[in-house]
Amino acid sequence: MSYQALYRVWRPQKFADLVGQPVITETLKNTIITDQISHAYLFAGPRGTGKTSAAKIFAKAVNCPNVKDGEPCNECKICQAITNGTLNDVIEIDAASNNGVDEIRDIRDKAKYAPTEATYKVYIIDEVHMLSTGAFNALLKTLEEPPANVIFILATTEPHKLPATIISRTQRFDFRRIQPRDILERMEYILNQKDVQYDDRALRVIAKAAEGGMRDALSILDQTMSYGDDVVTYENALQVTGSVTTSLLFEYVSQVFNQDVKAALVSVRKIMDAGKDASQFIEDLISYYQNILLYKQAPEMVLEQELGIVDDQFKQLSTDANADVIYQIIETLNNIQQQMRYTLHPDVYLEVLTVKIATIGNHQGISEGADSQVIQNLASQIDDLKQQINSLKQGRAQSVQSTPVAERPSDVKPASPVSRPAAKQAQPTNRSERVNLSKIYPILDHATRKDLNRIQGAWDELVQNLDVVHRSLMNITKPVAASDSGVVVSFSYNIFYQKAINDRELIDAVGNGLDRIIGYTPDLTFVPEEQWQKIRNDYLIHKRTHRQSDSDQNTAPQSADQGPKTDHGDTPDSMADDHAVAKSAAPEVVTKATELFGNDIVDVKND
Amino acid sequence: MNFYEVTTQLKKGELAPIYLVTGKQTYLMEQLKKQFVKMIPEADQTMNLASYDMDSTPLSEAMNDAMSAPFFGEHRLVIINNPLFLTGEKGKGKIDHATDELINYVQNPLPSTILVVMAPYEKLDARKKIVKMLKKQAVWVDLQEVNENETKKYVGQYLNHRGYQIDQSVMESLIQRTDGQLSAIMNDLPKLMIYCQKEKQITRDSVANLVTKTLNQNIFTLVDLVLKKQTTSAVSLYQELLMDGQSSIQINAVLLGQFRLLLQVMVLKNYGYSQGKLASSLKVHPYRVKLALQTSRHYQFKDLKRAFLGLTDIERQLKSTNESPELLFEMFMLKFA
Repeated sequence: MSYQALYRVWRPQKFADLVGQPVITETLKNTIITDQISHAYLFAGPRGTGKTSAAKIFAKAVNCPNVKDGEPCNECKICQAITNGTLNDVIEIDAASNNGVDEIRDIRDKAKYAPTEATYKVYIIDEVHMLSTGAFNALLKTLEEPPANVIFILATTEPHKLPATIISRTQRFDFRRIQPRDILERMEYILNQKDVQYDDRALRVIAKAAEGGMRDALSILDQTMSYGDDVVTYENALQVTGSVTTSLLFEYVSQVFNQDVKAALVSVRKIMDAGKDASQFIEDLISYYQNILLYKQAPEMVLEQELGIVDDQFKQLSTDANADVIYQIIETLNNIQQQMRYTLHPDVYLEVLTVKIATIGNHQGISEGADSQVIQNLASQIDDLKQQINSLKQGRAQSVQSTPVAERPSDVKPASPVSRPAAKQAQPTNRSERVNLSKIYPILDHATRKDLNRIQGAWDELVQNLDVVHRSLMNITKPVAASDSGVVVSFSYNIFYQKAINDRELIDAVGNGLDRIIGYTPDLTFVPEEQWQKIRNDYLIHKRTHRQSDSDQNTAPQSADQGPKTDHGDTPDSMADDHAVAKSAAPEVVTKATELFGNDIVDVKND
Repeated sequence: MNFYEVTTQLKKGELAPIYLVTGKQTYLMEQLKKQFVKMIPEADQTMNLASYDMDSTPLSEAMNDAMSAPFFGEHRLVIINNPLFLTGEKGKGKIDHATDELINYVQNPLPSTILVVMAPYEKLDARKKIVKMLKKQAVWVDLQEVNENETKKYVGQYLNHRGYQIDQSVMESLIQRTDGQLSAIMNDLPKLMIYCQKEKQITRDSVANLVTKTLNQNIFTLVDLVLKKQTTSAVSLYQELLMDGQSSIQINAVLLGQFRLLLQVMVLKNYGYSQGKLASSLKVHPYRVKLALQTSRHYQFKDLKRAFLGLTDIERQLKSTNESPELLFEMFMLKFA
């Protein structure tokens, strides 16, 4: 026998095989058990949900002499004849091609005659919505006064196209889309029966692609099997359905979330090289993003619809994801999808798209970053102010007591607990943009105006000579300090600063550029603009305390080992109180000034 | 005369020569027809019973039949179906009906013949002479819309009679799904009874699975689900509607209309409009206004406004882009909830 498609071989032959329509099969079985057969049925529902199968089984069950519990035996002559379509009393008509009045009249005339072999004459009219109006009217007549022992079973995918008069004369059953889980089980059953090896994930992909139609599912399964020599593998299932693996999708999506444009572009290339369809990819992406959103609100729905994509990674992603960003991304995806219809180069669009959606996150990042930056600044200012008030109070108490030398140990200690927590608080908030002070300080140590001017003069030319990507990045930078061996470059936006410090290629390109223009390659150090002021001030204070501790190492050891990261203002303050009269007059002026105006305003220049 | 009066009369064997049955209650009409047929003894039915469809048979044929005496037996029953010529509508009819014959007959009916005119229409054209004559001479049975209580009572009795039970809440959901249409309910009952034949108890589950919802009902449910922010159920209902072949624009328009009404009612109520005033100034059926007033009490203006704007946006996108309506609706629900 020639090859038969799976869905034909495995067409259900009894009600128990009919998957996903428990209520309908139960009702039909009961109909037969209790012998309450109506003369007309209407089976409505999407394709591949079992309408025609149910009709044929019903035809058998009605006529089978050894029917048991409403199920046909499938062994007697009548059952087999119906299965083979050779019984004269069960007539299957495709209304799509027999849609005229004449055909229906023909039925009407023949329906008058009693069945020859079977008990009931069964007319199965498939795609009944295709009948012409005249044909409907002719049919209506027959349904109104049906001859005895005739059953009409009308099957349709579009019940709304039937006249209400027809519907009201039938017993209507609405077939539902079959749940992916049921499809999955049925495929497993078939493959086990056929003794074919399969990958569980492959079946999930197929069950999802079938969109509730069993016939679709089995067709895809069939294709997948012939593709892979009777083995159902995940890869083949993906090939046949044209979908992108969830792991690749996940990879891409997480790269987009992390704004890793480069890696995401590589992923796109990989996906396109694998021969995936660009618009299919975008569709997959949209549904992936949508699932993330849905999962945030209604996890059970995603679990039900998407077999398999919900793993821990997905859960993590959906909890981390910012809904607003996803809305924007989906919008962009939609736009691109439309533009894509008119292009011959979908991959170009995909790449543009990748950059676009990765930067959607960026804008978000910038505005958020700016906000948190402002808050952080304010917080640190408040901390400063608190400490200054503290030290002022203490200073006053001391001046009243006026015994500086004896007071010193007890004076430094209360100050430092205040400063420590403040420092600790400040640290975690700006952990992402921590600047490498160990590289900056040596440069600042030797910084001169002349070097800076030279670099600044060369900067424009340098930026112009970089390639496009780097140029756009460096456009918002400026050199803020330079020594003969190093440059400090400030970035207007945190986000680009972060990108730049990890970009080896960029640093090399800038280094090379400078080498060409000014003749040597300085050490490049990047700082975010917002932090530059603070770093500079810290440096100045640090330098001063160093100088002080150099000059009186034995008197103030605490201040020296506090290092550059300690909160400014505090240690020098207490020290200034200590040594105000005895040691340097200049630091006292400075500290007084910072006390009054705060670090952000006072700009100390050491001459 | 109404349905019950006629049936009691028929049971008593009191017959009139001409009946005119009007109204859109197909189920009751069917029942009535059966009652009439019962009046002719079964043995005589082949000869003394005839039913004519005016869509395909000329009236004169039926009239000829009506004017001949019964073949043996006492009465001859002639049923005229689909007399479109009694209404103002124009059918595509290729058949010329000689209505004069009917007028003549109505004036001098044959006492042995029972002529039943079944007009399943809301309204007849009262200006037509034939209609005037019929209303005057015939027993006019007007099958009015059965109200909800009567429907419930009828369905309950029907089920009890056959040994079935139904809970009040299940009955409610049955009524809801069918829009309270008696014909629709009676059409679905056999299925329900067959499914529940073991327990003899109509279950909620069976109603949910076997009774087809009407579009109106679905839309109300959808509005409710949207307002209650039940994303999952709303989205799956929307998919079901699309699958049933409802056009997305239509669904959206109905949704939009409902929200618009809710908003209008809410705003105008704050200006002190009464229910009647609302109905007349909005030119909406008072019952809808009443329902809207009830519904709007449960929701906040802000929410309604957001939903309305969201739906307007969908409308715009449906018409200007190629995005799938399902996706748009899902996005709307996600944003709204």
